Amino acid sequence: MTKFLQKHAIAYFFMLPAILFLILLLLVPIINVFINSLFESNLLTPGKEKFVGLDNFISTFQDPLFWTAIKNSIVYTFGSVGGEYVVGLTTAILLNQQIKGRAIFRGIMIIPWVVPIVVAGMTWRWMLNPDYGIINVLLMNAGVIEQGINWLGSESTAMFSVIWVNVWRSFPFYTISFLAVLQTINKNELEAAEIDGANIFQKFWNITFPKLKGISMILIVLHLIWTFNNFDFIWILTEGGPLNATETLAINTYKEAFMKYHYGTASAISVLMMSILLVMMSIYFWLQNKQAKVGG
Amino acid sequence: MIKKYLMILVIAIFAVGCSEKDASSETGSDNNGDGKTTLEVWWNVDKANDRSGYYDAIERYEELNPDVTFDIQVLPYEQLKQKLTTTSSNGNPPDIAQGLGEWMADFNSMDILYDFTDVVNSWEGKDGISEAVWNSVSMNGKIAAFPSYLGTRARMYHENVINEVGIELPNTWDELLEAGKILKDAGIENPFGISATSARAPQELAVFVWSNDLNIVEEIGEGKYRNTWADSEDELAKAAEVFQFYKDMLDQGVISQNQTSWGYQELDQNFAQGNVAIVQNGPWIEGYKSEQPEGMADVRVDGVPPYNETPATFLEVAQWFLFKDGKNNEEAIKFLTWMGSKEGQSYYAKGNRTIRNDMELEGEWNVPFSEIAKNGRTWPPVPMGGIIDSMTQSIQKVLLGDTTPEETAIWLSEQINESLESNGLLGE
Repeated sequence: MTKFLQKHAIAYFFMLPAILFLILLLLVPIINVFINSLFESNLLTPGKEKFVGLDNFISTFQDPLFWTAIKNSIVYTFGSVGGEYVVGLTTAILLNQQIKGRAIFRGIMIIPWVVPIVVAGMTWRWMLNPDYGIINVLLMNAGVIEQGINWLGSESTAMFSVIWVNVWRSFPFYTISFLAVLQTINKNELEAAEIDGANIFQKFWNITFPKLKGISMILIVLHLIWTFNNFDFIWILTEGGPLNATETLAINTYKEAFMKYHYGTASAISVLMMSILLVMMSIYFWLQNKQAKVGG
Repeated sequence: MIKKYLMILVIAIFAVGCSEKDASSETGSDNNGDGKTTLEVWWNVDKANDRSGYYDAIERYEELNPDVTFDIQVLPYEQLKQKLTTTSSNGNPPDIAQGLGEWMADFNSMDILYDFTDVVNSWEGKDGISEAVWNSVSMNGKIAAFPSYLGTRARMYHENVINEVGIELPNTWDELLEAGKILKDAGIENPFGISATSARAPQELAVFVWSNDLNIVEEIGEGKYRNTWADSEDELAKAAEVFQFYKDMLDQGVISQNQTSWGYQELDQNFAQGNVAIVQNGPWIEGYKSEQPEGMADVRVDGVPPYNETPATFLEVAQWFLFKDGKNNEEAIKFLTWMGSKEGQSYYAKGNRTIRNDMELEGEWNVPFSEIAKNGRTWPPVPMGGIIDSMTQSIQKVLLGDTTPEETAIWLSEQINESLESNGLLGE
């Protein structure tokens, strides 16, 4: 043991700052949230915190808004990740072709990803404005709609609009990642398949797509987590409205913590969010493992 | 080996350097070492869009007080409130913050605000500010904030539109509904303008509530409050009437469907562009004259917003906050009392925005606001965080949802009382 420590002392010493930062910036707040969730903690009544056990969780489960937020979070997360995956994969395949100006298109495509979320959110809010937003103008000029749609102000279109904007912002990340893998595929393999009579879809399904499975898993897992926790886009575009149509768990937590100052309840919702994410990840990895075993 | 120990020493020095508490970086407001004091101010006034003259006031104060400089942080209101909540709770607030009136009760309950009572009572400029303004910044007998500027709401309209259609200006809700129909038939898309989202929506709702002889909360016993709408048939009917008014405006085309998602930016822009005929709005609209000279050319200000029983309006008193844990409260008080003086007000709270009653007010953008100040009401002295969100939702419920005005009134009443109960303020 002493020998081991002597050998690795410097390594541990260099790791120490990173470990300290991780403990201070991640572990301590997470533990604090768990502790807070067991207390009736209200910033407006300082010094009157009391231990309430699981009461915050029970009252959260009894609140119909919590279940609305769960439903909205699932729709928003899967809608966004699904849309991002399809658009990202399509653009990656297109940008992998030998076309003129490919480098320029690749540069332009990355723009949504580098625009700050606040700027993008505010811009989309004006573009989707029912009175003079450019989206309505374009759709009306194209004859798709007869009168302007209140995209963010109507219960039926608000969630779709928020997902649309999120897909627009995040798909370049998928494109770049897929493109990197697509460029490693051996052209000879594709040519051999072509000689054997495989059509474009068979080539994609049997050669290209299997090679994208690894990166797909990483992208989906990362984006499920990021989107489920996403707060800023929804807040800038709709603040969870109209009539809670876009209120996700992240928005619900923010309102409890910073509008009502119910830190105990907000912490309980955060703990539940974490649990839901863990369950989602477990199911995903279980399915992946199962698939890998079946595939041999 | 020596190299290794030197490396460890360098890292140790670096680590200590990183962790050392740097007083000047902690708040940005301590003495600079050159004898100057830096006051850290948080507000939402962007220098590029400063139509009021805040930065001119700062510049003037720095000329008068060469030993004081300012470190300004510009934040949108929501972010500002959130940041003030977290930094103040952790004992690290800015020296000064300017915020909305509805935040005062929240911050006061958190016990983070500096008590201005003694400062104001010994300030020679106290009598230049009306009792109503001092009351609006007082809670439980103490002055919890310092008034910054007024944002009284008045009835505004496009004179050319009203004259072309040939209608009388509506004073009451019924008159507004009638006038709205005529304007709509004449092709005006938005006869009246409202906000159904953002901080403006509950402020407008409050004006309609007060003008129908209702209160948002009643004081029941010492320090206890309650919304009493659901406790009496008469009050419930009146509250339902308020929401019925919103519904009637939408059903009869007095407000357009698009307005159900308007915040204050959409409302102000549309009115300044001439897309809304009549509105209840504040003095800041005058600032749009330079951006929208054509649309603003025929805008007139006149009287309180349309009412049902009693003329009422929202007397918004923007507030300066100092904090118990503030590092430079003495210097900050000197600055705020100067901002509240005639000279300070003449820089950033000119004309209709001034908190003072001894300033010369002339002109069509100043006199109407001072005339309706007597009808002004402010938020009740209870934490408004949860209540305001529910008020906004109640408007959307009645405009977009399928709940009846009476159901909406009962729902809002319950939400207000739940908020009071969770803060230990509910009276039975």
